[in-house]
Amino acid sequence: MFDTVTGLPVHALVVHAVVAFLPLAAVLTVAAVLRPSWRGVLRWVVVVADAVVVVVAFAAQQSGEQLQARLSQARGHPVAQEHAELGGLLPLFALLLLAAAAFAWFGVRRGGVLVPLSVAGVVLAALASVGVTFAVGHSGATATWQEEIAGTSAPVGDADG
Amino acid sequence: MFDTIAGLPIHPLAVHAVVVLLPLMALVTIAVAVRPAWRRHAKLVVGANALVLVAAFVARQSGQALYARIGQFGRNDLAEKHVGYGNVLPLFALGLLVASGLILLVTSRPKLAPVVVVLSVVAGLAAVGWTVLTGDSGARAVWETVIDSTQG
Repeated sequence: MFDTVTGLPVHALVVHAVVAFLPLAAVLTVAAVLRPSWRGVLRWVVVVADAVVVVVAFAAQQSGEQLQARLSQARGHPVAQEHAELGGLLPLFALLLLAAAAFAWFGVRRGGVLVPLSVAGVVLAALASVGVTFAVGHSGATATWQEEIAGTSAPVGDADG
Repeated sequence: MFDTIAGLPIHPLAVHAVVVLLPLMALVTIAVAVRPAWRRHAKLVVGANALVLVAAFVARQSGQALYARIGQFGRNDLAEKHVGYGNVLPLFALGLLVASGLILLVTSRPKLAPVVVVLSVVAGLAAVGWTVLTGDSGARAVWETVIDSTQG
């Protein structure tokens, strides 16, 4: 179910959602826990958004394994190994963000020491998950495009190639 | 300036923004046009749609740079078709921006409301449709050969 859709790899479609929504959800989660007047939003929008991100991250990881198997088949040797290793971690970091948001859901309501703990947890989880997303995306783009770029010259009129 | 970043093409990075944000803002634009109570947020929508237009423009320019590189390997019909769709995409983003500007106008001239609602729905649906066509043709240009020549 994660291999192809209309003859194209599911992975190439699903990663758009992870690349855009994980950082967006992370920023949203931090904003919601930092601004007391926004904490009501934690209960709904943020936890649901973070849960959606877990689902798309899982779909990206599963579909990525399928695409890796096909590409390795085509090339005759294993491809994108670094990307696959990093990508395998991504659903866990998405889950970490969701867990931090869920903890903050209770934490900011209980008050006391749980408030700074909630803030710290959410900020750390957000930074870590965005950082891993960046690393995963970069290694994936490298696996797909590096050879093509190295084998061609910059178009005329483009000085920075 | 739109060719590469850190040794990788800018195009596959820029398209993430268009693929996600353009359909999202199309839905938001339609929702804000259709619900009178939400029209007071039109200014925010205009701002976000302006960002989408910038993203669409960056995707188009970086796409042309990548197309010029791929052309060095020889003729590529799938990529050519994708360029045909992608070249026009910023116009659809512009249509969305204009629609949201008109929604802003409706807040002071309520008589225009029916026309603006219709225009917003049409602009929104057209933008989503064109994004699907552009994205599908682009994914085909990159992946179809690999998928056709391997087993799942």
